[in-house]
Amino acid sequence: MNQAQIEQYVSGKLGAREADEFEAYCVANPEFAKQVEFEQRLRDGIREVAQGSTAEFVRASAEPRWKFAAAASVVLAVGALSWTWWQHQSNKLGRALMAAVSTDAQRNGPSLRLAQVRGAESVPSLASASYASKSSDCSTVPRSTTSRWIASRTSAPAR
Amino acid sequence: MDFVPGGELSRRIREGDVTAETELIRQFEPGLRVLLRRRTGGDHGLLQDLVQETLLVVIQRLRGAGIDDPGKLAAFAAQTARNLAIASLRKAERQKTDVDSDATDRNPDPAASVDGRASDIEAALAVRALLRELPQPRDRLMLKRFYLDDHDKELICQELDLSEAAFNQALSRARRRFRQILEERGFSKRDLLSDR
Repeated sequence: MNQAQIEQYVSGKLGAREADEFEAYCVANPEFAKQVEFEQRLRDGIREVAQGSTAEFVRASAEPRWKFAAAASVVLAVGALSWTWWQHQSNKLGRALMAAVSTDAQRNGPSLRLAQVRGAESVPSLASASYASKSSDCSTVPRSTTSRWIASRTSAPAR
Repeated sequence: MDFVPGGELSRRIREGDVTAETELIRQFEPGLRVLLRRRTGGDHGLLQDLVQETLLVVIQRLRGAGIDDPGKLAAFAAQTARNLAIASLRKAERQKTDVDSDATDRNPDPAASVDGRASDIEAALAVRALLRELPQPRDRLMLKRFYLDDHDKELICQELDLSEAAFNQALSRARRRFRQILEERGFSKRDLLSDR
């Protein structure tokens, strides 16, 4: 007796006489009978599952979904690594450029305010008394003071 | 497990050896379950009753008159099981037409039925897990064609463009995994193949 005969018996494809012989063999050989019963259980389980619907047997592969998720994760990880590397390189490049265009004295000297670098020495002193004594509200800065300063800057000849 | 030939079992039972009766039950029960499972249409209570009844009839016969050819004890037990299954089927058919108050009052062994049903559910759950795991839609379709639609291997191989070797390999893989899943779910090898 072999697997093919087990399959034939379980699917009811053995002839009556062959089936009788097969059954007598099963009764005499408990280990073989257990193999047959396992096959019966698999078949019954499949039939039980298929009772409601056979959708589970014909659904498309679940593989692409996890593959897509895995691919997306890889792309994200590579993107994050690239971005980190690029940031690191930009900083290095920036420092190298600064080193190339500035002297040691400039680099090591006192830091300057942007207004000073741009030659804004003539920045009008705001009406500090009224500004400081009140609050940080911009509306308290006398409008005429800033207007005069802006006018002086815009009317200056282009350098 | 040692196998005791039918002739020796017959002789020992006739001589009153109780251990031989136990041995007969151990040896014949799996095969009788296979045979009767096919004839009881998923009624686990009936299956269990018929297995017990068959073993009882065989043992009583061996204790008494004995059988003509003790060497064919397994064939005798198989035939006894078939006869009991047929008788049970006839009785059920009669009960469909006659109102049998005794039968309707009779309570089949509920524990056996519930356990049998539970094992069917476990098998179905294992099949579901197996189907989820099978990577190829083709393998699932193959199982459906083979076990559900009862198509011949040759036809399935043709339809799915498979060689017979590839078909057998995929089927054997599915069986192995089914067994593993059942074992992972707490079914021992004994439980796997028993209704109790």
